Amino acid sequence: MEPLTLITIMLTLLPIGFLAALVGIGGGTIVVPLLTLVFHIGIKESIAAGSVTVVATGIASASRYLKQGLTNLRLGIFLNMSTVIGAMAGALFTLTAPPTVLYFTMSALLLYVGINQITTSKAEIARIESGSFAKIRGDKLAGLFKLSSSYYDKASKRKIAYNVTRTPVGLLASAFAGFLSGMLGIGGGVLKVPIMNLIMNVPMKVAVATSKFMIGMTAATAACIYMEAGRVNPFIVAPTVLGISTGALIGTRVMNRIRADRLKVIFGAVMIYVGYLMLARALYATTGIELPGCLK
Amino acid sequence: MKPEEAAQRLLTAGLAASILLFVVGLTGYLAVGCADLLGKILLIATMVLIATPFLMLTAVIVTHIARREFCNAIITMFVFLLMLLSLVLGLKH
Repeated sequence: MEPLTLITIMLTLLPIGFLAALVGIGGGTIVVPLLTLVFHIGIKESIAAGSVTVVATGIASASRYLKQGLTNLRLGIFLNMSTVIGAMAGALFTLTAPPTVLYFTMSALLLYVGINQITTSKAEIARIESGSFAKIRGDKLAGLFKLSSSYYDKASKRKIAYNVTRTPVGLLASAFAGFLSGMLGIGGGVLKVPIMNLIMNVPMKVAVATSKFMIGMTAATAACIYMEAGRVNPFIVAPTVLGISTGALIGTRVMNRIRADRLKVIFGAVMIYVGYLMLARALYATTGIELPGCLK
Repeated sequence: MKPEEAAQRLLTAGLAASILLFVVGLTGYLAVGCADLLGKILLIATMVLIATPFLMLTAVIVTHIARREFCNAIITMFVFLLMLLSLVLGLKH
């Protein structure tokens, strides 16, 4: 590969790492189309490189967010229990069923939640200011595993306590998110963040940080499998990891300073974009209609 | 030591080690172009990166046990085993 191409890949992935750290996604849904469509790298090599970059953004972001006290480690590991089971079931289900219907479902879900995140962005600020995250009672399961916690919000300059609630529902939803992730081969951050934020009473910033922590763990398994299969090209992985990690490290410095409502708007926009990508893929598979940016 | 602290330290160390190896490998490749040797260095860097979350979970289990947080230790062990199981299933497939 040409040195100029390697440097271009590195620089192109820097803003993606930044965005991924900001909204709690792995970035694979953006990296893979970029490597195939822009840099003309084979789809198998791109997917393998994508899975390694998801590990890199996960680790880079998680290490910083843990230091800032944003990541809820106990909640992340607890939810990963059902996510991994769901992902395993999803991966096995892919072998027997074509995922086109799921792409349509997933895209509809993402578009709906994306719009919902944008329209309810002001409510997050109101909840932070009224302290309602702490007023809601945590459930027994959350108490047993010490899932409720607090963090310091740099944007509003106050400590925000929160009680984790509806833990069984969150566990089930996480299993469903894992199932979809396993079927569609995505990290699932776009689903994990709203599950924590909308269902389990977890503030947006903690949801983002915890999602990054969870993604890093689960993506490592997929990356191992690609590595064993000999699909990991180190000359593609190196610039992607360096670019995306640098971007992620910058993103983690910025995230806690951004107002929560703005963060929700950015997250909503990313969800709508990923939803569009899914819709484009499903449309192409069923009708042959090729929308711009479609990953065949 | 808190589990959060142990996880953070391990993740930082793993990331730093892999980035250092990536920088050495990539800079060497761009400057000298010796693809064989430097490709191996980049592969080791990838391995270090991928192994980091597994090592982090091990450290979290140890710290939970040391702090007598047995419920959390069991959950973390379960997640660790699930990750290993999905790895084995994936490799077989």
